[in-house]
Amino acid sequence: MSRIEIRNLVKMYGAHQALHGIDISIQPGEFCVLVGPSGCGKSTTLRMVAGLETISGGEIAIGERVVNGLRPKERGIAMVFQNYALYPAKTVYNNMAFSLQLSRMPKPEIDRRVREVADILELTPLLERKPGALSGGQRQRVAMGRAIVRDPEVFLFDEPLSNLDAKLRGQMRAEIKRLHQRLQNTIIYVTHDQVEAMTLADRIVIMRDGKIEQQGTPDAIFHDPDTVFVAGFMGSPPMNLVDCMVTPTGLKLGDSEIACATPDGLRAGARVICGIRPDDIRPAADQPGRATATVPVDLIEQLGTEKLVHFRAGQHSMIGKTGGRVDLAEGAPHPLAFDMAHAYFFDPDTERRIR
Amino acid sequence: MSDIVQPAQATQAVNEERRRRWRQAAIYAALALVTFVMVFPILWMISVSLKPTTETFSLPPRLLPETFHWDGYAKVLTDPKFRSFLINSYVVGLAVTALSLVIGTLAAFGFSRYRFFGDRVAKLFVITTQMVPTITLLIPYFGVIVFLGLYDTLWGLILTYLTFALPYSIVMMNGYLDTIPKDFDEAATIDGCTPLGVLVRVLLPVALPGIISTAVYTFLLAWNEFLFALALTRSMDMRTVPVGISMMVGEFGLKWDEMMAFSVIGSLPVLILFMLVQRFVVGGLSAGGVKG
Repeated sequence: MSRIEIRNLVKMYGAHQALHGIDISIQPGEFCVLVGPSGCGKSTTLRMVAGLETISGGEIAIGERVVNGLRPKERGIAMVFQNYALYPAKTVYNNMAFSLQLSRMPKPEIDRRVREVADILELTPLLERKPGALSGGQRQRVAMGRAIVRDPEVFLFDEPLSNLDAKLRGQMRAEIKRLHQRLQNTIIYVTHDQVEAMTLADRIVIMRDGKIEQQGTPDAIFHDPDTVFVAGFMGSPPMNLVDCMVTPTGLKLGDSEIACATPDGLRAGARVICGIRPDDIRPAADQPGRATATVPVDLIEQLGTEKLVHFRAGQHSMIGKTGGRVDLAEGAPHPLAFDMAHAYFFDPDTERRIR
Repeated sequence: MSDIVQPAQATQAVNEERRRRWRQAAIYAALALVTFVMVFPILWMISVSLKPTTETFSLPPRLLPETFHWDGYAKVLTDPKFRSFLINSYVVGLAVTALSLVIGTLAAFGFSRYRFFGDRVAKLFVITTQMVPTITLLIPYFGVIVFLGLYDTLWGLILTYLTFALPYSIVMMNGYLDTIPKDFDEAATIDGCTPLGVLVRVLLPVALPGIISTAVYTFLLAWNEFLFALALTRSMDMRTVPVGISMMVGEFGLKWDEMMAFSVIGSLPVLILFMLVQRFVVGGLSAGGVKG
């Protein structure tokens, strides 16, 4: 269990700068998730912590040691890869024992550790099999077992669940969370899946184009986004982000006007991006006293417990929600209530939040 | 209505079935013919090796000899000269195989896993050496081998065959290693392997089919080579099997039974090797079957 300090981390590929000075401070035992679209630099950051990529600038410290010049095996890390990278010619047992064998640990100690971890991960009956004879979920567990036996200071996960089907992904997500509760190791976990980020993380770091967009607890990221990008990235379905005009009484969106309080700094006539989550747009009948607008509903997606209501407002396509049992007709106008107390306002030029 | 249509349909089905059978028969006939053409020389070689010389060209030709005549084999197996041909061929074949596997694998590992100055040019150069017709190289090689003082030694043959086998080994092994995802290297590096450890402990076990098929090819190349073996050796105790077989033509008159017996003995290792590993060779040629 160690803290990780990443200070002003820079990565250059020739003339192309992939990381522009990343600063992350991860507390001992913290579960830190790096999330962002592909090409944002999250995997590069992880691989630099692992020692698989050289560091072009800045510093990485694990525990009290700066590890810039250390080889991967000297850094006290273990890594789980996206496609598991289990050695195909070795049995599950030897896959897990390999790093311990290389460090010349006594055989009985290796055996004790491998069996203990196999027990935790329910791999004991599979120890003599080769990876080719395992299912996706089992391979995933072996990959985690291989990391756990080393008892590392830090676990690194590189999109470990993206090769699994949806159901298994949900199970493994819970298993990783439980494992973290049990082992209390420091973890850096890379994913592009915002659900994984929300459910697993103590701290989420959202990256974009080699820079950190925002970092904080899942709550803070979800309920208090700093930028349009973060607001739009976290949450499914995503937050509605629409261009509006500020009026003396509220906002003008295309032809419709909604009465609401706007931040003090905004004068009438200013352009603003208004963000409102689908959860905060409900049928008016359920929400007396809220700002309502009657809008044409053009598509309804049935999710079971709830329905997504797609409608148009001015130029924008927006999404609201209703309960799964509410009867709505596609193509008909319908009154929807907007909970503007939970709306967010962003500057259209800087894309930063106006508070 | 359907009652009327059915007989017509039935006839059509019967016709189609008949056509299908004819097509099958034709394919089998063609395959049998080709197989016969391929196998006949081998059968004839075995047949002649079991007949006394007087019977070799008797008319009409007989594939099965009247009596099995083992003298050719007895002569060839007891003569120290023939034993020395065999030993030379094995020494040269095994040495070339071992050396080209070790050197070729290391070079291929470099090409596959590292980017370095001039790597593409070097790889292209390796491939182009395969494009030169070998016979044009005979005289230069002769000069080089004489210059190195390796004329009429097995080392001279080993070195020469190595220059033929290495480009092939490098290209083949590079191909196999390229199909192995780099994630294995990275996982092994994190587990504490050195780069050479990655190759030996992780990549080679995965590339085993590739190694075996490369080894077989290399061994056959050295085992079957005739021209250079003839030119680069002089004394009887440096000759290899193909040269030995050819020498039976002039020197001993034409002892067909001995010549063919020795040919059979010379072909055996090749046949056995192929039977043992053909699974790998075929699998290896369609590389890409290696996946985590």
